[in-house]
Amino acid sequence: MNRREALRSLSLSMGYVVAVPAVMNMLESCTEDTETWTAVFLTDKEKHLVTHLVDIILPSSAIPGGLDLNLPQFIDMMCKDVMKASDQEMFHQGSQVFSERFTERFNKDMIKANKEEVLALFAEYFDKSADESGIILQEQRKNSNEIPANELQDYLMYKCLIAVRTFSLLGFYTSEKIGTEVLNFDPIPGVWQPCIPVSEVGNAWTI
Amino acid sequence: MSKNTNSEVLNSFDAIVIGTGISGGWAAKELCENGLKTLVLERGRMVEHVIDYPTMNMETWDFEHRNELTADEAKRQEKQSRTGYTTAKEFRHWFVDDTEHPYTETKRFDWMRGYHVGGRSITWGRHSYRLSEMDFEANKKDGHGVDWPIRYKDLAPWYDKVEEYIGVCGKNMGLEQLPDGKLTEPMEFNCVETDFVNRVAENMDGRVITHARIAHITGDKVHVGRGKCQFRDRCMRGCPFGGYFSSNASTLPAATRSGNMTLRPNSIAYEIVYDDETKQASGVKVIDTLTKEKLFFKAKVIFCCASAIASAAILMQSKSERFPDGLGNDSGELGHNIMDHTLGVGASAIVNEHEDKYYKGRKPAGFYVPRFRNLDKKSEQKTFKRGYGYQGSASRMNWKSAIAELSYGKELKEALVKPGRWKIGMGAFGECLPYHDNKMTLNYDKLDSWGLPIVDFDVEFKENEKAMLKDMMEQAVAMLEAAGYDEVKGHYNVNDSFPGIGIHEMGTARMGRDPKTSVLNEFNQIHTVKNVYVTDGACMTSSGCQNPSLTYMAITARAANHAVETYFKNKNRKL
Repeated sequence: MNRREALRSLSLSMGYVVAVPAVMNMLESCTEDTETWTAVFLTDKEKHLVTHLVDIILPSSAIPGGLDLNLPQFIDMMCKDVMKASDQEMFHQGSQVFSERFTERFNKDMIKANKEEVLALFAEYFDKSADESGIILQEQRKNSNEIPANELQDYLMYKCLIAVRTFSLLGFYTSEKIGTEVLNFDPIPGVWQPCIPVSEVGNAWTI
Repeated sequence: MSKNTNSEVLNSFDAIVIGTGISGGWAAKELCENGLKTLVLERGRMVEHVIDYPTMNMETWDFEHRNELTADEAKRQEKQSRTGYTTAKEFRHWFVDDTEHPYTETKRFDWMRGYHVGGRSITWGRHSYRLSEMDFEANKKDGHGVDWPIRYKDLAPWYDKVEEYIGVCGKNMGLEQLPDGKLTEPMEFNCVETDFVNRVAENMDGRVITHARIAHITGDKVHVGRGKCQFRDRCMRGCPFGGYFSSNASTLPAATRSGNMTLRPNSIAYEIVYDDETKQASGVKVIDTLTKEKLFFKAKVIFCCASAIASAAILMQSKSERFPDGLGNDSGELGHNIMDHTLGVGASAIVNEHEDKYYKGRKPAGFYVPRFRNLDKKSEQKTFKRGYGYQGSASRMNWKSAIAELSYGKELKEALVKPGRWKIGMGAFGECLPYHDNKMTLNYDKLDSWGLPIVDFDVEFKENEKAMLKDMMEQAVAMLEAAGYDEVKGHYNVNDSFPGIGIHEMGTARMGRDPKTSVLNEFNQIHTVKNVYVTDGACMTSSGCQNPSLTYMAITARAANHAVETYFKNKNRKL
């Protein structure tokens, strides 16, 4: 079985069959972590963090959430295959920064973190006004050697968290499940109708 | 008779066409349909229409990394990825591996290309605009470069023929700077585009915006082997419907049907052999990349359609006693006067209107703003010569609009499955003047895996282009503001736009009236080697600001028919 098939069958068994509450239970009782996939890039601590982050960024609701699609494993693969070596290094450094701040705040190791705790810390960095966000994202476009020493920790931490967020959105909105069951899937439109009421379509077209 | 008679017959053709892209396909079709036994050479692999479009029906989730390149893949296409889009997984097999096909840059030049049957006719932008009389007269009027040896009327019937054959949709506007054509019904504007066109006309003194003219089939005319555009907008992957024009879907099958074409992929043409006795080229030397054999094919007529840079490189490699600096290079202009269109400047805006409106289908192009500068006294500019046009479109944004945010949570997730806000944007294509010192040379210090010299580029945009870039951004902003849109943002970064990125490189063997200052005559023949025609972008004497492929096709069809006439005249004379 190649990786793609493996991923497919895994996401079938994890995302489609395992019910959401089961996944949630599994995560809450993190000492009994029984996920069936083995990370190829993420450390154990990172895997734990990324799993909570995916659940925070794209929680389950009437529409499936990121964990229903097994996005942590997708993110693990993307980090390994798509990221440049220098970005991979910054990802690890950034997750380290977040984990250290987590331990300072909650007096326990990231591996034992629950979702509410991760959310509390994550929100401090992501509940920002448009202007603040703009500044942070602009800094992220710079190279690490352009960042002043006293801002480097924040810069690296955002590198990691933003990568998780970006891969989460990519993995989610370009997934087969969302693309065919939630968005409007029309691979061969055959016609061009330039101006029709949104109500005739509903959700956005799949691209 | 020599004992090699058999192989000589086998290796002897009426005509040879080097290249299978947009120009080579047309040369092949015209020569073959007119009865010439034609060998068509392609350096890359075979690509058969539909059968060899591996990604044409894939959905994003079918790609292991969702259309992203792996770090290893990206490393192999560092230069080809400079466009930012061409090396996505869905397209990357149409662009060369830079590690296998290197070139050097005295100055940065973004040379985007693919080595396979069909060339860039598979991946082209499909916008098809005629050059106008003012383009053909421009050099003569303002003294840049040399005068074109042809005028609009020489090319007009060939534009007609090409447009009717390939299928170009759009709307005739009766503009002097953008001649009318044989167009089929346009793809209608969506509601925001319609407003934009009307508001700009009202608020900016009648400035014209028209439908993009693209080589897609609309209407009911039958095109053998091709169907109508299905609005998938996955054109660059290769279209299973043949909805847009490519050599693979159209001209090469036509040449095949004639029974006169021998198509030879995996064949690198590296030298056109000059015969001092006949004062003509006798044939083409070829490396078979599969067998590594070196072969020689003879022909009465040779068409160079390998693309502006590659055709010039082949001519430069074709050295002889008569032509020590490359075939037909008496003028010293071969490899010089490289032009491209300036790119990377424009504007975008958010449209807080029509929130209850949407569309069905993925329209492959939007609107075109024809040139409005330096058309007459009134539109004359002090800071630059010539002009530019814009391509743009409006659409509703999707989840990608949230990438540059820090938002998260249920609300975000559910908002992003709804149609996003309307966004409108446009980007300009600016004319580049011909400068002798914008040139390519052969780098014999670095040979490719076939022992052939690689190309080195020494090209830059100069003051006229830079002054125009500034105006391009200001006017794009002005138009969006005139339409009353929000969050209007211009983009102009001169450091982001290097020559080549327009993928309209041209001018390396320009046409002209005087053999002392040009390489080709009015029928694209090398002035002093008349059985060699160069009809790809190399032949361009000036660049205009219009996407050039339509002009390459018209010029090629015209030259091929001239070659056919000449061929039969000579043959009958001998009889």
